[in-house]
Amino acid sequence: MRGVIAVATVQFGSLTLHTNAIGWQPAVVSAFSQGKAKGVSHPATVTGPGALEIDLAVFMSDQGEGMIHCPDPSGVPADYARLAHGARLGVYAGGQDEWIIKQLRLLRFSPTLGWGNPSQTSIEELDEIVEGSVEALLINLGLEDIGPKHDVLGVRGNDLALRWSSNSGPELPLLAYSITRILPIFKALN
Amino acid sequence: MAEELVYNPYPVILPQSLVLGQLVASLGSFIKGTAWEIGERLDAILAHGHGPGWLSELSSDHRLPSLHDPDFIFNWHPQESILWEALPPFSIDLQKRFGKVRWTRNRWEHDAANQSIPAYLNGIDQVKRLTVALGLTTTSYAPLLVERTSVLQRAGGVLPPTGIELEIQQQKEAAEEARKAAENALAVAVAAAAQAEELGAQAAAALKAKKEAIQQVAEVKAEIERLEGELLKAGSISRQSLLEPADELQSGDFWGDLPLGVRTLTLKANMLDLMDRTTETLLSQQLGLVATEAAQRWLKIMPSGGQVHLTPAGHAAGLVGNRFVYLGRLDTC
Repeated sequence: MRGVIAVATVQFGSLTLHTNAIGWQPAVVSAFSQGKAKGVSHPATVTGPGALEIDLAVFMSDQGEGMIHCPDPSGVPADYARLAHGARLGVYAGGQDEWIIKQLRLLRFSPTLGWGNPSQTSIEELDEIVEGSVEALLINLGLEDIGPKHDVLGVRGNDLALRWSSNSGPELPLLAYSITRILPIFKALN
Repeated sequence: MAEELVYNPYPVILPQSLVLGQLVASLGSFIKGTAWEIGERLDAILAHGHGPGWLSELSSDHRLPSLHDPDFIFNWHPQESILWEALPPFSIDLQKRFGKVRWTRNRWEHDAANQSIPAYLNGIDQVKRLTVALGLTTTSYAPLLVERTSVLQRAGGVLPPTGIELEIQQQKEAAEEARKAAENALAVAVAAAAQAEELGAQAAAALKAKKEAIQQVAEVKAEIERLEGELLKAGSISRQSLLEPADELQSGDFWGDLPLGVRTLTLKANMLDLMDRTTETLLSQQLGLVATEAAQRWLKIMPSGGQVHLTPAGHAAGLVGNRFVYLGRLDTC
């Protein structure tokens, strides 16, 4: 019998993150300083009002350096073209099966310029963006720690950092990207 | 001259307290010890002069006196008695001293319950008066008894404990505390055991309830899966029961001028799935593997994916180049 397969949908703000059971796929990605990197990738889609549909993916290289990005520029709506030109979110494999985001910054998007760059943010600001508790959203996906990087990672800096188990699934980093990259553009445009 | 040591089986007994039994025993040791010593002296002297059977000469009513018997020794011995040959010269006073000891002995032997501390001290004095007069070694008993009585009186009637006794007492008290602590611990343990037993019963009941709940959840899940399967099967049957013009098409055929399906989906190459833009749900969420397998088949015709139109019967058409192409049917029979 063919049953319903596992999918995940996460509502944040007015948008929805979708993953399905396709799982991690072998992938080769360029955009790293060292050139092309082999690793695994997990796809996802963010949908929203107005038939908004943006494909994204989380990639983790064999070297433990990864990112969340929009891998196919053709799958990015024109208004969201900024996402096809960088604005990636770095993710790293830490010790003891944990993954970390060392610098969770918020994209400051100008609809008139059609452009913007990420800069330092706070949990409070992200709460305003998602109109709820971003921490609660992330905790549901396996978040173990969030806060200034000097607290979470013990290194200098006040940028937000996150830490979670690599066994928690791909949704947490995908959501972190969606909140700090896609949602700001969506809100700026609407 | 050194005092001759005389064996005496009745050493002085010093009272440990001023209770009656202690007084009787201690005074009794003085009386019996003195009688023993006198008896020994009489025998030593009179046997020499009257022969070893001298005591039998003093028998009366065919009753042979016992040499060390206080009843024999302490008496009003008449002046003509041969006993005086072994004693200091007879005198009324000395005779009375024997009589007073007899009287003392009788009082403490037969009427002890009515005696007192002063009577006890008086008894010691009466015996001492005789021992002093006779020059007996048991005279030394008297000051010991008096001193002990004085100590006991100062201590409230009971001999104060010695250092060793105090140490033992402390050890005893510590042991008593330990016993109480152990009893308390035992009581707590018993109570805890009872509580644990009760909790164990509760835990067992909770565990049973949990198992039943898990079983119920499993049964409900199984029922849901069964219903979902039935639903999928029914949907598939429903779609396939519909007759549409596209039934005649083969995958890859041009769609032609047939009406496009009203349900618009995005064939997603990255996820091997279809996204319903209207409901913002993946088709795999609704149809499971039917959707992902269809997506994989259709991506062979539209490798980059894109928009597809789905008819009620499950026929899909997608734009390839500038023409719509028949992708195939959701259900593969």
